[in-house]
Amino acid sequence: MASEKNERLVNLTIALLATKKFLTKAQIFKAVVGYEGSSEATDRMFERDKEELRSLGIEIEMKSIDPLFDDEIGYRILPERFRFNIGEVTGEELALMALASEAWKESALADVALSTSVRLQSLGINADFSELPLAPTISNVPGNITEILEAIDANKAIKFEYLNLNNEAEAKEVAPLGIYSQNARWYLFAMDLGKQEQRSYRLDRISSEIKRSAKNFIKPDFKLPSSHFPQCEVLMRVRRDHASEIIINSELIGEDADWITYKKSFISEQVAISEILKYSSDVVALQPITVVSGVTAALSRLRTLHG
Amino acid sequence: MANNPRLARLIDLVPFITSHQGVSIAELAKKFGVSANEIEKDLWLLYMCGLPGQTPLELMEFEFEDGFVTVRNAEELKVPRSLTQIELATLIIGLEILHERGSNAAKQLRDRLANMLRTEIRYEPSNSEKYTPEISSAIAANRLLLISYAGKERQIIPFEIYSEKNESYLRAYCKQAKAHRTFKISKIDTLEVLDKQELAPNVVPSDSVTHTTRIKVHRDSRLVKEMLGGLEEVHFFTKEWLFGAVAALGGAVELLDQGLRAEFLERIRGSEELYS
Repeated sequence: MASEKNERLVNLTIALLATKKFLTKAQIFKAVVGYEGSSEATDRMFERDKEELRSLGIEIEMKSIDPLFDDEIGYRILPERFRFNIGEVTGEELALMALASEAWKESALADVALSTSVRLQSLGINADFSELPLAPTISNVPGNITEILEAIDANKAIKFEYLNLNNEAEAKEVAPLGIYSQNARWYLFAMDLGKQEQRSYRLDRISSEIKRSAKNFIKPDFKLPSSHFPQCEVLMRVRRDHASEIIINSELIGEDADWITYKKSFISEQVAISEILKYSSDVVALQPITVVSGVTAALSRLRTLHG
Repeated sequence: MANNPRLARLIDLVPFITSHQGVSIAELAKKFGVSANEIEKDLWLLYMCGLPGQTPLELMEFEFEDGFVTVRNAEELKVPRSLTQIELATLIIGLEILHERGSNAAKQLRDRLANMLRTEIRYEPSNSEKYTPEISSAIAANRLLLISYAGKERQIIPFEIYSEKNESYLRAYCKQAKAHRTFKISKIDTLEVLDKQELAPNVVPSDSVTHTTRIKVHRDSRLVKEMLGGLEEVHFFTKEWLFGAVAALGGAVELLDQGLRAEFLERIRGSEELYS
């Protein structure tokens, strides 16, 4: 029963924290109520319990305790490792951490934020909220981010379905390496175990649940992709007082009565073409020629399609 | 979140009660985000836990009959457990944003925590995340905002923030335009909350009605889905948005409604003339 299991887990935690010596499995099974059944059954139970505690960040230390045979393993939890320990914390720092976790309360990681916040409040320090910036909010965090972070932390490969260009789900099996956000989107950086190459996956394009895979992998050297995109510099004419969005962050080059010429950096040629098409009644691409021909080709396709 | 949230709560209740002796069950329920009934069940379970031996000498001592909770003899669990990697990651990202908002203490703390992180994570806050708190507080206090948007300064009376297709928008009354306007929060360059309150005149917003139209997809279905929100039907507020999005897709999608097609074709022909 679930409640018995949790009782056993709490008691196990207390016993392993209280002991100075490493305890053998036999000692643990005798001391902690709830390890009943055949020896295989109790062994399995114990393995699962260790894993559950691990997922809460509680590490059980293991050591061979018999000088003659190494199959006698001892277990304990080091109180120093168990404890919330980030060094001396001031009231201001506590308040900052409270705000930092508050930022997630509307997101998919709300549970994580709540658990952190409760423990911050248990440190017995008074938070000093004077002179702090306004609480930030982190929005649009995809719900699957938790499973991914857990898999990265546990060094486990994962399987999921990913929407390809034609919006069809494709099965992927990857070794997750890191997570990053860019332009308000979240990406998983991972090693594709089929193709053996490092790639980024947009989290909102993962169309299935994320499952752990049985494949093992050795974590390769990697660097998260840099946030600097290749740039595409475009010269364009914009009708005066129109298409106000496209002229954000652009440099004024010249103007006449009706039109103003701007230079703007887009993150890619494709994005430039697409943005100019969006405002095509009021924006004319001048340079480079690839963007100009991209826009005119698309306009002619659109005309044929709707004519 | 951990696979077993109840176990996390059981272990976390002990240090919380230790540092808040006499806390009410109702308060615990609020703090831990569960019902008072759940908390009571937790306390009954913890009541039975303690050091091996499980005689009254070894058990933790909880008192909560009158609805107020105290604990004694909880030496092992009285300090909160350490942060998991995921919890560390969320704190670090939160602190990064606070640093961006001008807190140097947040930067130092962030660096300290980052040393403990084994997971690779990087976060780049978008403008919408940066400005949302200020805008929310301005809406709550009926304050005017001064924003720089699309190269122009505007005074606006903010009404509400809403999200659509992964973008956050602000509905407001723009004093310069003397009309209701919707702003993409990510495109706001600078923002200032003014020390002025004002109510918007009673004008019907032009973009509050949703329309629906049918489309045919020719290629790039994933992109179409992400930009238009559908593969057969599109919901839209303004024709301006619809035509812009269909044009930006460069022929991947076709409008099916005769009236809209004609109007769109007219517009495309006009655009082509600009290149002749």
